[in-house]
Amino acid sequence: MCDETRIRNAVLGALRQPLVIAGLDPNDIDNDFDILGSGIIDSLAFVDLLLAVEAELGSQLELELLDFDDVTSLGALMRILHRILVPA
Amino acid sequence: MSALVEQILRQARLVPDAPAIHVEGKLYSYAELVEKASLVAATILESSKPATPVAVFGERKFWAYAAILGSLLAGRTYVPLGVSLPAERRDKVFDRSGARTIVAAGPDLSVLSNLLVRSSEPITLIHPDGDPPSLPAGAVAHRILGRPDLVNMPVPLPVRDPESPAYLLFTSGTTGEPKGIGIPHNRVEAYVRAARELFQVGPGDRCSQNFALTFDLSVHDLFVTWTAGACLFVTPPRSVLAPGKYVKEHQLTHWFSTPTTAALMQRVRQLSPGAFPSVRVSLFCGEALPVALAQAWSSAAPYSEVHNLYGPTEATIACLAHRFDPSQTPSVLGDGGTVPIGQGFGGTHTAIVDANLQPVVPGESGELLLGGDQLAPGYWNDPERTAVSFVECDDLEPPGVWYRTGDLVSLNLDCEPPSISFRGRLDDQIKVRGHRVELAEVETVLRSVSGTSAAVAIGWPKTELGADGIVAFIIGEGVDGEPVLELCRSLLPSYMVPTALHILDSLPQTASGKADRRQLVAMHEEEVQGV
Repeated sequence: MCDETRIRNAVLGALRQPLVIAGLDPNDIDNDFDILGSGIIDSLAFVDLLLAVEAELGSQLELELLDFDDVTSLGALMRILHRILVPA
Repeated sequence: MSALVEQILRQARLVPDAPAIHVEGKLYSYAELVEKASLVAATILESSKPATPVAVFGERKFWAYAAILGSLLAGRTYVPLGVSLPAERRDKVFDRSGARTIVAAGPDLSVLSNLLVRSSEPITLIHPDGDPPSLPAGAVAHRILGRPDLVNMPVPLPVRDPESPAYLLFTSGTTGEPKGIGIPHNRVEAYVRAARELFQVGPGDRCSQNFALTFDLSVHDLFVTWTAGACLFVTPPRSVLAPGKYVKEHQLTHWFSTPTTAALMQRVRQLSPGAFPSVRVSLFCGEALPVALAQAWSSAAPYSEVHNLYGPTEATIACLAHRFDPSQTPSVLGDGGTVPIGQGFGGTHTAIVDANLQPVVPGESGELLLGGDQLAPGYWNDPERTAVSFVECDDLEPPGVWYRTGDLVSLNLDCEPPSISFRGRLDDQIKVRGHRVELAEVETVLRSVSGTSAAVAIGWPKTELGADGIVAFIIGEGVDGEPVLELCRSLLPSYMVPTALHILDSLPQTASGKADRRQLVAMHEEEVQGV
């Protein structure tokens, strides 16, 4: 599986529960979805999400390079994760 | 007129081009800040005649800061209206404040429509950064003003009234009604004077602004910085969860946040050794500071002093401080794993008392009482609650009014000089991710929305800092949990909404007939682990 698909699956997997709690269908979520602005998860849960994605991918993310202000949408988050993923 | 405003106006006259605030990616000078604040002040004075408080709506927007300063310039009290609060709670805060004017920053003001529609009093809404917003009309005619309507006129200096409130904030209250606390100018001035000296803030310094405007620690950020001629750096909205990059980029010299923010920064690996060499003074407040976290921060900001602050809103921002010294022995660093809260600073007096309000033997635990020149005069329009918490104690030194914090503390005699350590709460107030929460308020809301007679809310999972969330238990037959939680979401800030709701036939009880919280937690943990 290519990195992009793995990242997408890992992020959506970690988001599934908060989406369902908020009454949203995970299948309806597109790349424009504003994860942080939507209010479905707070800062603590977002950090948990990053660490869960890291565990799921089995390789480290260079989190120190992450600028949270760039995380404007699901698509943007996936591009950033792709960039800061340290190849296993 | 307050000394605070006078000092900021003086900065604008003496060093007009010095930077005052960096926000939304732009730097504004003292002259620009005061110019924009004066526009807001003149518009307030022209458009709203009775001197009611001014509600400020907007977070991390330049105009929200100009609106706060503008309200004070107009001689008014400001009331921050939480942007992320559920509409009903925001409306309640607005109603209880008695405000008739809103200054709103930001593009989306649609969340304010409900407030306008249901208000029976005419409201003036000022939107200084754009056109007058088109909002649905209510039963009464409101005045909706935009940028073209701003009044450009010299603002007369308001009369100095040290006892009039500078700001009005609302905290969690046990009855389900938010509790208002108005802090007069002279209390804020006393704090700002003491803090500026203790934490050495001066011209050229670059100070963080992490706290939401509804949190009184933001008052420290704005007024300690501006009265010192320093520059305020407003962390952008998304970065505020872990602002390490912003700190580095802008070479901040003064840092102030909750321990929760520092803990999040640590989790995303922003606290590497030497990460923040520019920081000289770091302050933490709002919840217990774990020793391990203070050590990690000291190593990330190796040239910084680290102070742990303590203070309820009722005693103005913060009134105790302890300087953390990583080279000290463990018992001095913090027994129980958390850093002591120190001693009263500025004009604050402290006393540790038993249930009869008599001082305990030094070293023993008791309730912390606060006295001195930072005490609020009481709760906003609420003499009953004021009488319970603000008590006359003639046996204490100095005799007079003292505020009962409800915090259980003891004097750590190993520290030199002795320092006060936080031990817990006397009631069921907790900190959820740094926010002050009365569990009784969550229980009141649960009872009213579910129609059941009994509800218990518990902070869970417990962390070193308090709790990460709340789990709740109600008795109910045929009650569906999801609609109950949905209603909670419409009434309570997100950190107060239970993350799990258990519906039981009966509540387990302790021998004394109270709900057995320990058993309830065990029940919840069993279920979580079973999944």
